[in-house]
Amino acid sequence: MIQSIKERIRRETSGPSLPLIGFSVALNLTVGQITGVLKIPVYLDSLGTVLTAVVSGPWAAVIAGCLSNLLAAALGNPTMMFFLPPMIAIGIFTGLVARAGWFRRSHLCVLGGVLQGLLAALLSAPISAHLFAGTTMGGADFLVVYFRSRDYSIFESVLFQGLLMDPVDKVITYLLVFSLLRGLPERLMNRFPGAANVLGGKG
Amino acid sequence: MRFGTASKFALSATLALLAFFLPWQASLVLFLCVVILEIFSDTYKPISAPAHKAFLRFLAYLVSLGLFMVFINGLLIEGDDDACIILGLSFYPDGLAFGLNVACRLMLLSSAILLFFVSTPIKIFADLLGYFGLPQKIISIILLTTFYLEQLPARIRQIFWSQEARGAPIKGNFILRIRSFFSILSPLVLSSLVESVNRGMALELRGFRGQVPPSRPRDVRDFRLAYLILSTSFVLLLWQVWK
Repeated sequence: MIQSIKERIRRETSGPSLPLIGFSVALNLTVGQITGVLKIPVYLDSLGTVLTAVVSGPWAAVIAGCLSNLLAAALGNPTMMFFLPPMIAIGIFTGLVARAGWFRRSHLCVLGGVLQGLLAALLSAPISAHLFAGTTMGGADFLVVYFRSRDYSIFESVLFQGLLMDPVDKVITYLLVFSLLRGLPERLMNRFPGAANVLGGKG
Repeated sequence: MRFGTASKFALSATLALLAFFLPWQASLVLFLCVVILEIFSDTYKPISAPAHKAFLRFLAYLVSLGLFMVFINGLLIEGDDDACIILGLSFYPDGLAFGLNVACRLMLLSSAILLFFVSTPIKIFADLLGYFGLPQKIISIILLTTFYLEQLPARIRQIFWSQEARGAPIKGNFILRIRSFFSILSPLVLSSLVESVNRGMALELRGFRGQVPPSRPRDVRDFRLAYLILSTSFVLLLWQVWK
């Protein structure tokens, strides 16, 4: 079992996957620049992680997600480094649904995004509530304060905020990755370990 | 006295850890200590003038964010005590106390971590992680990320201008803006995937397996001090949890 996991990690972090993980981490950290210019009110900060999960596999995505959060802490948002469990869950969950072929159908992508959003909200709520009392230096903090002013507890406020925002964010992320990968040439996709996740039997 | 990188890292980590269990008054004092350390100490001297300016800008942002958090929590979160009127606005003591606690915690945590990074080049940080036992592949990914972080903003700007010149709608409703987001993202991801294939091939041709760590001199004394600081803060944390 451990040998097989080790072998998978080795496969998912070799060849083109290694630079791809670096790109994905950088994409997670800079995507805010594009959404900021276009005034799109979503984070999309796991776009690189989802892309890696589909193209390379779940373990590569876990590495990309964890490094994104750690480097985000170094670049000005230290609260991010405490949110490793949701990032690990995003990587593993997306890798598994990609392997099950959900990134070959748009409606399954939407379903995957909703489930992913719910999972992320459930996992990040306790961390946000207990370590930071619901304040994580993000725009959604307003929503948490709003729920608190309605007499909900800190945990409930953070959970409701997450359940409202995360599924939308993740559905958009999943659909973007689905559309991006659908248009890629087969020859390019075949170089990556997760080619079959997108191409199916053709990969 | 000038600490080495490992001790510097341990000291910043300890300060960040303290933010979770100290009262807001103590956190505020330590936050001021962090500012003094950044300005006056040799150990935490910023790596460049722009890094120093960025740190000061971030501090200003942190303080204004902290004040805003105290204000908004005091205004909205009711407690058992009666509200007090300040400048014609009703503030609740419980909300103010809660806001102060959270604001001071975030200010100390953020500034302590940034204090380390503002005075340590990423390359040296990556070396430090290697000494702490992180696999060479992960260190390579961190270095690749710093390369992409330097390249991506310029690449994004270039694609953005090209798409704007072609008439991609950057203003309009939500769906239109998502579409133009896609038109920027698509060439960015495609070019990066092609680049990843080329880089991956180059790494394999050079025999990179990520198993042999590069040999570098290691300051053992500095590591002893770092482990001492880290274990002391860990014991403190356990004591707090037990209490």
